[in-house]
Amino acid sequence: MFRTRLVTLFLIAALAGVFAATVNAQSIADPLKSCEARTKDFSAWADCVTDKVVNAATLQANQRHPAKQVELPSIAENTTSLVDQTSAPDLAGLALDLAGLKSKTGANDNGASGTITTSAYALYAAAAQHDPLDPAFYQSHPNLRRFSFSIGHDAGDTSSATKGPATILGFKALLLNGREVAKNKAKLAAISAALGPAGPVFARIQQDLTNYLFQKFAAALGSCHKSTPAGGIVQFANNCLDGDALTTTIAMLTPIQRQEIAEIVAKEAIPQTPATSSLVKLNQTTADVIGRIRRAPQLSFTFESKLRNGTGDDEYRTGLLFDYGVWDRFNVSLNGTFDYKDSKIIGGDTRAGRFAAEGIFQLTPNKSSFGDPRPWLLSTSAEAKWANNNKSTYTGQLKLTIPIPGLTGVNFPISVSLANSSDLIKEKVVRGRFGFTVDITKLLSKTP
Amino acid sequence: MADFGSTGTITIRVNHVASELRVSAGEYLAFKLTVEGASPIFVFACTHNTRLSAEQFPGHPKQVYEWTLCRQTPGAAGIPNENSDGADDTYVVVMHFAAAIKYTLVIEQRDRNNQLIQTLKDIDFESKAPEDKFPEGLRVVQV
Repeated sequence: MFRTRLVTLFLIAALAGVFAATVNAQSIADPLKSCEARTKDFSAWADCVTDKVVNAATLQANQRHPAKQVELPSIAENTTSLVDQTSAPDLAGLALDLAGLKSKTGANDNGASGTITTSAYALYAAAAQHDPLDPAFYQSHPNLRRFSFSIGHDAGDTSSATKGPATILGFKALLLNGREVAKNKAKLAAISAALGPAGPVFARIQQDLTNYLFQKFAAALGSCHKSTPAGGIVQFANNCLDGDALTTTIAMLTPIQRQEIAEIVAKEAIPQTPATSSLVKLNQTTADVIGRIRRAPQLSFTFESKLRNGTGDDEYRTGLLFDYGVWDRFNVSLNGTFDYKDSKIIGGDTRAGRFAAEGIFQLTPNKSSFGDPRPWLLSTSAEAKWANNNKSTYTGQLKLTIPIPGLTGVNFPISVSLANSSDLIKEKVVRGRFGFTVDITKLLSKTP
Repeated sequence: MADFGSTGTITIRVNHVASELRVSAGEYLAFKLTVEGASPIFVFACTHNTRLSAEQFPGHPKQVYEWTLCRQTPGAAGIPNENSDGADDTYVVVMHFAAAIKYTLVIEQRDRNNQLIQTLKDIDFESKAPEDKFPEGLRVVQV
Protein backbone atom coordinates (compact mmCIF):
# COMPACT_ATOMS: atom_id res chain seq x y z
CA MET A 1 0.00 0.00 0.00
CA PHE A 2 2.74 2.33 1.06
CA ARG A 3 4.79 1.40 -1.99
CA THR A 4 1.81 2.06 -4.29
CA ARG A 5 1.32 5.52 -2.83
CA LEU A 6 5.02 6.22 -3.15
CA VAL A 7 5.05 5.22 -6.82
CA THR A 8 1.96 7.34 -7.48
CA LEU A 9 3.55 10.35 -5.82
CA PHE A 10 6.71 9.81 -7.81
CA LEU A 11 4.78 9.68 -11.09
CA ILE A 12 2.88 12.85 -10.26
CA ALA A 13 6.12 14.61 -9.36
CA ALA A 14 7.79 13.39 -12.55
CA LEU A 15 4.88 14.52 -14.72
CA ALA A 16 4.85 17.88 -13.00
CA GLY A 17 8.56 18.20 -13.64
CA VAL A 18 8.21 17.28 -17.30
CA PHE A 19 5.28 19.67 -17.69
CA ALA A 20 7.16 22.49 -16.01
CA ALA A 21 10.24 21.84 -18.11
CA THR A 22 8.12 21.78 -21.28
CA VAL A 23 6.41 25.03 -20.43
CA ASN A 24 9.71 26.61 -19.53
CA ALA A 25 11.40 25.45 -22.70
CA GLN A 26 8.46 26.67 -24.75
CA SER A 27 8.54 30.09 -23.09
CA ILE A 28 12.25 30.43 -23.80
CA ALA A 29 11.95 29.35 -27.43
CA ASP A 30 8.73 31.26 -28.09
CA PRO A 31 8.57 34.12 -25.59
CA LEU A 32 5.77 35.97 -27.40
CA LYS A 33 3.43 33.03 -26.85
CA SER A 34 2.76 34.20 -23.28
CA CYS A 35 1.41 37.50 -24.62
CA GLU A 36 -1.73 35.61 -25.65
CA ALA A 37 -2.82 36.23 -22.06
CA ARG A 38 -2.39 39.99 -22.44
CA THR A 39 -5.22 40.79 -24.78
CA LYS A 40 -7.30 43.21 -22.73
CA ASP A 41 -6.91 45.46 -25.74
CA PHE A 42 -4.70 45.60 -28.80
CA SER A 43 -2.31 48.09 -27.20
CA ALA A 44 -1.86 45.75 -24.22
CA TRP A 45 -0.85 42.88 -26.49
CA ALA A 46 1.48 45.13 -28.51
CA ASP A 47 3.01 46.42 -25.26
CA CYS A 48 3.57 42.88 -24.03
CA VAL A 49 5.23 41.89 -27.30
CA THR A 50 7.39 45.02 -27.14
CA ASP A 51 8.43 44.31 -23.56
CA LYS A 52 9.39 40.75 -24.44
CA VAL A 53 11.56 41.88 -27.31
CA VAL A 54 13.19 44.75 -25.47
CA ASN A 55 13.54 42.38 -22.51
CA ALA A 56 14.01 45.14 -20.03
CA ALA A 57 15.90 44.26 -16.90
CA THR A 58 14.22 47.21 -15.25
CA LEU A 59 12.16 45.34 -12.68
CA GLN A 60 15.09 43.40 -11.30
CA ALA A 61 17.03 46.54 -10.51
CA ASN A 62 14.37 48.14 -8.44
CA GLN A 63 13.96 48.00 -4.77
CA ARG A 64 10.46 47.82 -3.44
CA HIS A 65 9.61 50.46 -0.88
CA PRO A 66 9.66 48.57 2.43
CA ALA A 67 9.67 51.67 4.63
CA LYS A 68 6.00 52.66 4.64
CA GLN A 69 4.89 51.10 7.88
CA VAL A 70 1.43 49.62 8.07
CA GLU A 71 2.29 47.15 10.80
CA LEU A 72 1.54 47.69 14.45
CA PRO A 73 4.17 49.95 16.02
CA SER A 74 6.91 48.24 18.01
CA ILE A 75 5.43 49.40 21.31
CA ALA A 76 2.41 47.13 20.82
CA GLU A 77 2.37 43.82 22.69
CA ASN A 78 1.37 41.60 19.79
CA THR A 79 3.29 43.25 17.00
CA THR A 80 5.46 41.66 14.32
CA SER A 81 7.58 44.86 14.29
CA LEU A 82 10.70 45.08 16.38
CA VAL A 83 11.86 48.18 14.55
CA ASP A 84 9.65 51.06 13.43
CA GLN A 85 9.85 52.55 9.96
CA THR A 86 10.24 56.26 9.32
CA SER A 87 7.15 56.83 7.23
CA ALA A 88 3.50 55.88 7.17
CA PRO A 89 1.17 55.49 4.17
CA ASP A 90 0.25 58.80 2.54
CA LEU A 91 -3.47 58.32 3.11
CA ALA A 92 -4.28 55.54 5.55
CA GLY A 93 -3.06 52.14 6.61
CA LEU A 94 -4.51 49.41 8.78
CA ALA A 95 -2.58 46.78 10.67
CA LEU A 96 -4.01 43.71 12.34
CA ASP A 97 -1.94 41.22 14.28
CA LEU A 98 -4.05 38.23 15.02
CA ALA A 99 -2.16 35.95 17.30
CA GLY A 100 1.08 35.09 18.95
CA LEU A 101 2.34 31.60 18.21
CA LYS A 102 3.33 30.07 21.52
CA SER A 103 6.23 27.76 22.09
CA LYS A 104 4.42 26.35 25.09
CA THR A 105 0.89 26.20 26.37
CA GLY A 106 -0.67 28.21 29.13
CA ALA A 107 0.28 31.63 27.92
CA ASN A 108 -2.35 34.33 28.11
CA ASP A 109 -1.74 36.56 25.20
CA ASN A 110 -4.66 37.42 23.84
CA GLY A 111 -6.64 38.00 20.66
CA ALA A 112 -6.54 40.63 18.02
CA SER A 113 -4.71 43.92 18.15
CA GLY A 114 -4.87 46.60 15.53
CA THR A 115 -3.98 50.15 14.62
CA ILE A 116 -5.02 52.54 11.91
CA THR A 117 -2.57 55.11 10.66
CA THR A 118 -3.35 58.20 8.65
CA SER A 119 -1.50 61.32 7.58
CA ALA A 120 -2.25 64.96 8.18
CA TYR A 121 -2.48 65.23 4.41
CA ALA A 122 -5.33 62.71 4.26
CA LEU A 123 -7.17 64.45 7.09
CA TYR A 124 -6.74 67.84 5.43
CA ALA A 125 -7.95 66.50 2.08
CA ALA A 126 -11.00 65.04 3.78
CA ALA A 127 -11.71 68.31 5.61
CA ALA A 128 -11.26 70.30 2.41
CA GLN A 129 -13.37 67.73 0.54
CA HIS A 130 -10.68 67.56 -2.11
CA ASP A 131 -9.48 64.48 -3.99
CA PRO A 132 -6.18 63.59 -2.25
CA LEU A 133 -4.96 62.09 -5.53
CA ASP A 134 -5.35 65.31 -7.51
CA PRO A 135 -1.74 65.95 -8.63
CA ALA A 136 -1.97 69.72 -8.12
CA PHE A 137 -3.34 69.26 -4.60
CA TYR A 138 -0.79 66.54 -3.85
CA GLN A 139 2.13 68.69 -4.92
CA SER A 140 0.82 71.70 -3.03
CA HIS A 141 0.96 70.07 0.39
CA PRO A 142 4.12 67.96 0.72
CA ASN A 143 4.68 69.08 4.30
CA LEU A 144 1.33 67.69 5.42
CA ARG A 145 2.57 64.25 4.44
CA ARG A 146 5.37 64.64 6.99
CA PHE A 147 2.92 64.08 9.84
CA SER A 148 1.08 60.84 10.52
CA PHE A 149 -1.05 59.61 13.39
CA SER A 150 -1.87 56.15 14.71
CA ILE A 151 -4.71 55.03 16.92
CA GLY A 152 -5.51 51.50 17.90
CA HIS A 153 -6.03 48.77 20.42
CA ASP A 154 -3.54 46.38 21.96
CA ALA A 155 -5.12 43.23 23.38
CA GLY A 156 -2.27 42.97 25.91
CA ASP A 157 -1.84 40.17 28.42
CA THR A 158 -5.17 39.52 30.11
CA SER A 159 -3.57 37.55 32.95
CA SER A 160 -1.56 40.54 34.10
CA ALA A 161 -3.10 43.36 36.10
CA THR A 162 -0.57 45.82 34.72
CA LYS A 163 -0.28 44.67 31.10
CA GLY A 164 -3.91 44.30 30.10
CA PRO A 165 -5.70 45.75 27.08
CA ALA A 166 -4.47 49.19 26.09
CA THR A 167 -5.20 52.04 23.74
CA ILE A 168 -2.38 52.87 21.33
CA LEU A 169 -1.84 56.48 20.34
CA GLY A 170 1.10 57.83 18.41
CA PHE A 171 2.43 60.19 15.79
CA LYS A 172 5.44 60.58 13.54
CA ALA A 173 7.00 63.65 12.00
CA LEU A 174 9.33 63.23 9.03
CA LEU A 175 12.30 65.54 9.58
CA LEU A 176 14.15 64.43 6.47
CA ASN A 177 12.07 63.06 3.61
CA GLY A 178 14.21 62.19 0.64
CA ARG A 179 11.47 60.04 -0.90
CA GLU A 180 8.80 62.72 -1.20
CA VAL A 181 7.68 62.77 -4.83
CA ALA A 182 7.11 66.52 -4.80
CA LYS A 183 10.77 67.01 -3.90
CA ASN A 184 12.06 64.71 -6.61
CA LYS A 185 10.74 66.65 -9.59
CA ALA A 186 14.18 66.93 -11.16
CA LYS A 187 14.69 63.17 -11.01
CA LEU A 188 11.21 62.49 -12.42
CA ALA A 189 11.89 64.97 -15.22
CA ALA A 190 14.54 62.54 -16.46
CA ILE A 191 11.83 59.91 -16.98
CA SER A 192 9.69 62.41 -18.84
CA ALA A 193 12.66 63.31 -21.04
CA ALA A 194 13.29 59.64 -21.81
CA LEU A 195 9.61 59.07 -22.60
CA GLY A 196 9.67 61.65 -25.40
CA PRO A 197 11.85 59.76 -27.91
CA ALA A 198 10.08 56.49 -27.02
CA GLY A 199 6.63 57.79 -28.02
CA PRO A 200 7.00 57.53 -31.82
CA VAL A 201 8.62 54.10 -31.44
CA PHE A 202 5.57 52.77 -29.59
CA ALA A 203 3.35 54.29 -32.29
CA ARG A 204 5.35 52.72 -35.13
CA ILE A 205 5.31 49.32 -33.44
CA GLN A 206 1.52 49.40 -33.08
CA GLN A 207 1.15 50.56 -36.69
CA ASP A 208 3.47 47.84 -37.99
CA LEU A 209 1.78 45.11 -35.95
CA THR A 210 -1.67 46.17 -37.16
CA ASN A 211 -0.41 46.08 -40.75
CA TYR A 212 1.12 42.64 -40.24
CA LEU A 213 -2.04 41.13 -38.74
CA PHE A 214 -4.16 42.74 -41.47
CA GLN A 215 -1.94 41.26 -44.14
CA LYS A 216 -1.94 37.79 -42.57
CA PHE A 217 -5.54 37.42 -41.42
CA ALA A 218 -7.89 39.96 -43.05
CA ALA A 219 -8.85 37.72 -45.94
CA ALA A 220 -9.40 34.67 -43.77
CA LEU A 221 -11.20 36.33 -40.88
CA GLY A 222 -13.55 38.60 -42.79
CA SER A 223 -15.65 40.65 -40.38
CA CYS A 224 -14.88 38.43 -37.34
CA HIS A 225 -18.62 37.90 -36.84
CA LYS A 226 -19.17 41.63 -36.30
CA SER A 227 -21.94 43.66 -37.88
CA THR A 228 -19.54 46.05 -39.58
CA PRO A 229 -18.63 44.53 -42.95
CA ALA A 230 -15.02 43.76 -43.67
CA GLY A 231 -13.18 46.35 -45.67
CA GLY A 232 -9.99 48.25 -45.06
CA ILE A 233 -7.63 48.25 -42.16
CA VAL A 234 -9.92 50.34 -39.94
CA GLN A 235 -12.74 47.80 -40.21
CA PHE A 236 -10.31 44.92 -39.66
CA ALA A 237 -8.79 46.58 -36.58
CA ASN A 238 -12.15 47.30 -34.97
CA ASN A 239 -13.68 43.94 -35.89
CA CYS A 240 -10.79 41.56 -35.32
CA LEU A 241 -8.39 43.33 -32.94
CA ASP A 242 -10.78 44.20 -30.14
CA GLY A 243 -12.50 42.27 -27.37
CA ASP A 244 -12.89 38.51 -27.72
CA ALA A 245 -12.01 38.68 -31.41
CA LEU A 246 -8.54 39.99 -30.48
CA THR A 247 -7.91 36.93 -28.31
CA THR A 248 -9.00 34.66 -31.16
CA THR A 249 -6.87 36.48 -33.71
CA ILE A 250 -3.76 36.45 -31.55
CA ALA A 251 -4.24 32.75 -30.77
CA MET A 252 -4.09 32.03 -34.51
CA LEU A 253 -0.49 33.15 -34.74
CA THR A 254 1.95 30.35 -35.45
CA PRO A 255 5.39 30.18 -33.82
CA ILE A 256 6.93 31.35 -37.10
CA GLN A 257 4.56 34.31 -37.26
CA ARG A 258 5.39 35.21 -33.66
CA GLN A 259 9.05 35.14 -34.64
CA GLU A 260 8.29 37.49 -37.54
CA ILE A 261 6.47 39.78 -35.11
CA ALA A 262 9.48 39.76 -32.80
CA GLU A 263 11.63 40.82 -35.74
CA ILE A 264 9.23 43.64 -36.65
CA VAL A 265 9.30 44.93 -33.08
CA ALA A 266 13.07 44.57 -32.81
CA LYS A 267 13.53 46.53 -36.03
CA GLU A 268 11.65 49.47 -34.51
CA ALA A 269 12.69 49.13 -30.87
CA ILE A 270 16.35 48.30 -31.34
CA PRO A 271 17.29 49.77 -34.72
CA GLN A 272 21.03 49.68 -34.06
CA THR A 273 22.32 48.54 -30.68
CA PRO A 274 20.47 48.17 -27.37
CA ALA A 275 22.56 51.04 -26.00
CA THR A 276 21.04 53.44 -28.51
CA SER A 277 17.45 52.17 -28.23
CA SER A 278 15.08 54.78 -26.84
CA LEU A 279 12.98 52.05 -25.21
CA VAL A 280 16.00 50.55 -23.46
CA LYS A 281 17.03 54.03 -22.34
CA LEU A 282 13.54 54.64 -21.00
CA ASN A 283 13.69 51.46 -18.94
CA GLN A 284 17.19 52.21 -17.69
CA THR A 285 16.25 55.77 -16.73
CA THR A 286 13.11 54.57 -14.97
CA ALA A 287 15.03 51.96 -12.98
CA ASP A 288 17.70 54.45 -12.03
CA VAL A 289 15.31 57.20 -10.95
CA ILE A 290 12.91 54.95 -9.04
CA GLY A 291 15.83 53.19 -7.35
CA ARG A 292 17.41 56.47 -6.26
CA ILE A 293 14.14 57.79 -4.84
CA ARG A 294 13.47 54.55 -2.98
CA ARG A 295 16.92 54.49 -1.47
CA ALA A 296 16.93 58.13 -0.35
CA PRO A 297 17.40 58.62 3.41
CA GLN A 298 14.51 59.40 5.73
CA LEU A 299 14.66 60.60 9.33
CA SER A 300 11.63 60.94 11.53
CA PHE A 301 10.69 61.79 15.09
CA THR A 302 8.25 59.38 16.71
CA PHE A 303 6.05 59.32 19.75
CA GLU A 304 4.06 56.24 20.71
CA SER A 305 1.99 55.56 23.78
CA LYS A 306 0.11 52.62 25.21
CA LEU A 307 -2.45 53.75 27.73
CA ARG A 308 -4.29 51.45 30.17
CA ASN A 309 -7.12 51.92 32.56
CA GLY A 310 -7.02 51.26 36.32
CA THR A 311 -3.81 49.80 37.69
CA GLY A 312 -2.36 49.07 34.29
CA ASP A 313 0.98 50.50 33.22
CA ASP A 314 1.09 53.38 30.78
CA GLU A 315 3.99 53.07 28.35
CA TYR A 316 5.61 55.78 26.23
CA ARG A 317 8.28 55.67 23.56
CA THR A 318 9.85 58.65 21.81
CA GLY A 319 12.92 59.10 19.66
CA LEU A 320 14.37 59.16 16.17
CA LEU A 321 13.96 56.69 13.32
CA PHE A 322 16.20 56.48 10.27
CA ASP A 323 15.79 54.57 6.99
CA TYR A 324 18.31 54.28 4.19
CA GLY A 325 18.47 52.10 1.11
CA VAL A 326 21.99 50.78 1.19
CA TRP A 327 21.58 49.08 -2.10
CA ASP A 328 19.04 47.91 -4.55
CA ARG A 329 17.41 45.22 -2.47
CA PHE A 330 18.68 46.07 0.99
CA ASN A 331 17.14 48.70 3.24
CA VAL A 332 18.41 49.57 6.72
CA SER A 333 16.30 51.06 9.51
CA LEU A 334 17.72 52.41 12.79
CA ASN A 335 15.75 53.41 15.90
CA GLY A 336 17.12 55.32 18.87
CA THR A 337 14.43 55.86 21.48
CA PHE A 338 13.71 56.60 25.10
CA ASP A 339 11.14 54.33 26.74
CA TYR A 340 9.19 55.22 29.85
CA LYS A 341 6.82 52.97 31.76
CA ASP A 342 4.57 54.79 34.18
CA SER A 343 3.63 52.22 36.80
CA LYS A 344 0.84 52.73 39.30
CA ILE A 345 3.01 50.92 41.83
CA ILE A 346 5.26 53.27 43.78
CA GLY A 347 8.84 52.83 42.67
CA GLY A 348 7.78 50.72 39.72
CA ASP A 349 8.50 53.25 36.98
CA THR A 350 11.00 52.18 34.35
CA ARG A 351 13.12 54.37 32.10
CA ALA A 352 15.18 52.82 29.36
CA GLY A 353 17.34 53.76 26.43
CA ARG A 354 16.75 51.63 23.39
CA PHE A 355 18.56 51.07 20.12
CA ALA A 356 17.18 48.86 17.37
CA ALA A 357 18.35 48.08 13.86
CA GLU A 358 16.72 46.21 11.01
CA GLY A 359 17.90 45.12 7.61
CA ILE A 360 15.24 44.34 5.02
CA PHE A 361 16.20 42.09 2.14
CA GLN A 362 14.02 41.82 -0.93
CA LEU A 363 14.02 38.08 -1.55
CA THR A 364 12.18 38.01 -4.87
CA PRO A 365 12.12 40.45 -7.76
CA ASN A 366 9.17 42.79 -8.00
CA LYS A 367 7.49 40.33 -10.30
CA SER A 368 8.00 36.97 -8.65
CA SER A 369 7.72 33.54 -10.17
CA PHE A 370 4.67 33.04 -7.97
CA GLY A 371 2.74 35.45 -10.14
CA ASP A 372 2.46 38.26 -7.60
CA PRO A 373 4.25 41.47 -8.50
CA ARG A 374 5.12 42.27 -4.88
CA PRO A 375 8.32 40.84 -3.49
CA TRP A 376 8.79 38.61 -0.47
CA LEU A 377 10.74 40.46 2.19
CA LEU A 378 13.07 38.93 4.76
CA SER A 379 14.08 41.18 7.60
CA THR A 380 16.50 40.65 10.43
CA SER A 381 16.43 42.96 13.39
CA ALA A 382 18.03 43.40 16.78
CA GLU A 383 17.10 45.47 19.78
CA ALA A 384 19.13 46.44 22.84
CA LYS A 385 17.47 48.04 25.82
CA TRP A 386 19.22 49.46 28.86
CA ALA A 387 16.85 50.14 31.76
CA ASN A 388 17.26 51.95 35.08
CA ASN A 389 16.46 48.73 36.92
CA ASN A 390 19.57 47.12 35.39
CA LYS A 391 17.48 44.66 33.44
CA SER A 392 19.15 45.11 30.10
CA THR A 393 17.61 43.05 27.36
CA TYR A 394 18.77 42.00 23.92
CA THR A 395 16.33 40.71 21.34
CA GLY A 396 16.75 39.38 17.84
CA GLN A 397 14.02 38.83 15.29
CA LEU A 398 13.67 37.20 11.91
CA LYS A 399 10.61 38.16 9.88
CA LEU A 400 9.24 37.05 6.55
CA THR A 401 6.64 39.26 4.88
CA ILE A 402 4.58 37.46 2.25
CA PRO A 403 2.24 39.37 -0.05
CA ILE A 404 -1.14 37.68 -0.35
CA PRO A 405 -1.61 36.83 -4.04
CA GLY A 406 -4.53 38.61 -5.61
CA LEU A 407 -5.09 40.95 -2.66
CA THR A 408 -3.44 44.27 -3.41
CA GLY A 409 -1.97 45.91 -0.33
CA VAL A 410 -2.47 42.85 1.92
CA ASN A 411 0.61 41.20 3.39
CA PHE A 412 1.17 38.31 5.78
CA PRO A 413 4.12 38.87 8.13
CA ILE A 414 5.55 35.97 10.15
CA SER A 415 8.17 36.62 12.78
CA VAL A 416 10.33 34.64 15.20
CA SER A 417 12.00 36.39 18.14
CA LEU A 418 14.88 35.38 20.37
CA ALA A 419 15.80 37.17 23.60
CA ASN A 420 18.21 36.90 26.51
CA SER A 421 15.58 37.67 29.12
CA SER A 422 12.41 35.87 30.04
CA ASP A 423 10.98 39.24 31.13
CA LEU A 424 10.79 40.25 27.52
CA ILE A 425 9.54 37.04 26.02
CA LYS A 426 7.40 35.01 28.34
CA GLU A 427 8.11 31.78 26.53
CA LYS A 428 11.72 32.21 27.65
CA VAL A 429 13.45 31.80 24.35
CA VAL A 430 11.49 31.82 21.15
CA ARG A 431 8.22 33.40 20.11
CA GLY A 432 6.54 33.27 16.73
CA ARG A 433 3.95 35.74 15.51
CA PHE A 434 1.89 36.29 12.44
CA GLY A 435 -0.66 38.82 11.28
CA PHE A 436 -1.97 40.80 8.35
CA THR A 437 -1.15 44.27 7.14
CA VAL A 438 -3.49 46.16 4.87
CA ASP A 439 -2.50 49.29 3.00
CA ILE A 440 -5.87 50.99 2.65
CA THR A 441 -4.49 53.46 0.12
CA LYS A 442 -3.84 50.63 -2.27
CA LEU A 443 -7.22 49.04 -1.63
CA LEU A 444 -9.10 52.31 -2.10
CA SER A 445 -7.31 53.09 -5.29
CA LYS A 446 -8.65 49.85 -6.76
CA THR A 447 -12.21 51.07 -6.50
CA PRO A 448 -13.74 52.54 -9.67
CA MET B 1 -2.25 38.33 -14.09
CA ALA B 2 -1.74 42.00 -14.75
CA ASP B 3 -3.18 43.50 -17.94
CA PHE B 4 0.12 45.33 -18.54
CA GLY B 5 3.47 45.80 -16.84
CA SER B 6 3.82 44.22 -13.43
CA THR B 7 0.61 45.39 -11.77
CA GLY B 8 -1.32 47.25 -14.46
CA THR B 9 -5.06 46.91 -14.90
CA ILE B 10 -7.18 48.15 -17.79
CA THR B 11 -10.89 48.91 -17.45
CA ILE B 12 -12.52 49.40 -20.83
CA ARG B 13 -15.86 51.15 -21.26
CA VAL B 14 -15.42 52.05 -24.93
CA ASN B 15 -12.56 51.07 -27.23
CA HIS B 16 -12.02 51.54 -30.94
CA VAL B 17 -8.70 50.32 -32.25
CA ALA B 18 -8.97 52.52 -35.34
CA SER B 19 -11.09 55.30 -36.75
CA GLU B 20 -11.85 57.01 -40.01
CA LEU B 21 -11.74 60.79 -39.73
CA ARG B 22 -13.27 63.19 -42.27
CA VAL B 23 -10.90 66.06 -41.72
CA SER B 24 -12.13 67.82 -44.87
CA ALA B 25 -15.62 67.90 -43.33
CA GLY B 26 -14.25 69.50 -40.15
CA GLU B 27 -14.16 66.39 -38.00
CA TYR B 28 -11.54 66.26 -35.28
CA LEU B 29 -10.54 64.23 -32.23
CA ALA B 30 -10.76 65.53 -28.67
CA PHE B 31 -8.48 63.93 -26.09
CA LYS B 32 -9.04 64.13 -22.35
CA LEU B 33 -6.62 62.52 -19.88
CA THR B 34 -7.57 62.51 -16.20
CA VAL B 35 -4.86 61.65 -13.70
CA GLU B 36 -4.73 60.47 -10.09
CA GLY B 37 -1.44 60.58 -8.20
CA ALA B 38 1.43 62.87 -7.41
CA SER B 39 2.67 63.86 -10.83
CA PRO B 40 1.56 62.71 -14.29
CA ILE B 41 4.19 61.78 -16.85
CA PHE B 42 2.87 61.18 -20.36
CA VAL B 43 3.46 61.99 -24.00
CA PHE B 44 1.22 62.14 -27.05
CA ALA B 45 3.00 60.94 -30.18
CA CYS B 46 2.44 59.83 -33.76
CA THR B 47 4.72 57.53 -35.75
CA HIS B 48 6.88 60.49 -36.74
CA ASN B 49 7.16 62.76 -33.71
CA THR B 50 6.37 63.31 -30.10
CA ARG B 51 3.62 65.91 -30.23
CA LEU B 52 2.92 66.86 -26.63
CA SER B 53 4.18 66.03 -23.15
CA ALA B 54 2.64 66.67 -19.75
CA GLU B 55 4.93 69.53 -18.79
CA GLN B 56 3.95 71.49 -21.92
CA PHE B 57 0.44 72.03 -20.60
CA PRO B 58 -0.34 75.17 -18.61
CA GLY B 59 -0.93 74.44 -14.94
CA HIS B 60 1.08 71.20 -14.91
CA PRO B 61 0.83 69.18 -12.70
CA LYS B 62 -2.95 69.05 -12.72
CA GLN B 63 -5.72 66.49 -12.82
CA VAL B 64 -7.17 66.99 -16.30
CA TYR B 65 -5.25 67.44 -19.58
CA GLU B 66 -7.08 68.15 -22.82
CA TRP B 67 -5.95 68.56 -26.42
CA THR B 68 -7.33 68.10 -29.91
CA LEU B 69 -6.16 66.61 -33.20
CA CYS B 70 -7.02 68.12 -36.59
CA ARG B 71 -9.36 70.75 -35.19
CA GLN B 72 -9.86 73.48 -37.76
CA THR B 73 -11.76 75.99 -35.66
CA PRO B 74 -10.22 77.76 -32.67
CA GLY B 75 -10.56 75.83 -29.43
CA ALA B 76 -10.66 76.96 -25.85
CA ALA B 77 -7.60 78.57 -24.31
CA GLY B 78 -5.15 76.10 -22.84
CA ILE B 79 -6.27 73.25 -25.11
CA PRO B 80 -3.54 72.75 -27.70
CA ASN B 81 -4.35 71.44 -31.15
CA GLU B 82 -2.12 69.16 -33.20
CA ASN B 83 -2.39 68.74 -36.94
CA SER B 84 -2.00 65.46 -38.74
CA ASP B 85 1.06 64.88 -40.88
CA GLY B 86 -0.12 61.66 -42.48
CA ALA B 87 -3.33 60.34 -44.01
CA ASP B 88 -2.88 57.05 -42.19
CA ASP B 89 -1.11 57.34 -38.87
CA THR B 90 -1.11 55.76 -35.43
CA TYR B 91 -1.28 58.01 -32.39
CA VAL B 92 -0.31 56.88 -28.92
CA VAL B 93 -0.70 58.30 -25.45
CA VAL B 94 2.19 56.85 -23.45
CA MET B 95 1.42 57.02 -19.73
CA HIS B 96 4.07 56.47 -17.05
CA PHE B 97 3.24 55.38 -13.52
CA ALA B 98 6.38 56.61 -11.74
CA ALA B 99 4.36 59.17 -9.78
CA ALA B 100 0.77 58.48 -10.79
CA ILE B 101 -1.48 55.52 -10.09
CA LYS B 102 -4.37 56.00 -12.48
CA TYR B 103 -5.05 57.55 -15.87
CA THR B 104 -8.44 57.77 -17.60
CA LEU B 105 -8.25 58.36 -21.34
CA VAL B 106 -11.29 59.56 -23.26
CA ILE B 107 -11.08 60.20 -27.01
CA GLU B 108 -14.09 61.64 -28.79
CA GLN B 109 -14.71 62.12 -32.49
CA ARG B 110 -16.51 65.44 -33.04
CA ASP B 111 -17.88 67.36 -36.02
CA ARG B 112 -17.08 70.92 -37.09
CA ASN B 113 -19.79 72.20 -34.70
CA ASN B 114 -18.10 70.41 -31.77
CA GLN B 115 -20.94 67.92 -31.56
CA LEU B 116 -20.05 64.40 -30.49
CA ILE B 117 -20.07 61.88 -33.34
CA GLN B 118 -18.84 58.95 -31.25
CA THR B 119 -16.63 58.13 -28.30
CA LEU B 120 -13.64 56.20 -29.54
CA LYS B 121 -12.03 55.39 -26.23
CA ASP B 122 -13.02 55.58 -22.57
CA ILE B 123 -10.50 53.51 -20.64
CA ASP B 124 -8.93 53.47 -17.15
CA PHE B 125 -5.30 52.46 -16.75
CA GLU B 126 -4.09 51.76 -13.22
CA SER B 127 -0.80 50.55 -11.80
CA LYS B 128 0.89 50.53 -8.40
CA ALA B 129 4.30 49.78 -9.88
CA PRO B 130 6.25 52.98 -10.54
CA GLU B 131 8.25 51.17 -13.22
CA ASP B 132 5.14 50.58 -15.32
CA LYS B 133 4.27 52.51 -18.44
CA PHE B 134 1.62 51.96 -21.08
CA PRO B 135 1.15 53.19 -24.64
CA GLU B 136 -2.50 53.26 -25.71
CA GLY B 137 -2.79 53.61 -29.46
CA LEU B 138 -5.39 54.69 -32.00
CA ARG B 139 -5.03 54.26 -35.76
CA VAL B 140 -6.48 57.26 -37.58
CA VAL B 141 -7.20 57.07 -41.30
CA GLN B 142 -8.30 60.26 -43.00
CA VAL B 143 -11.01 59.81 -45.60
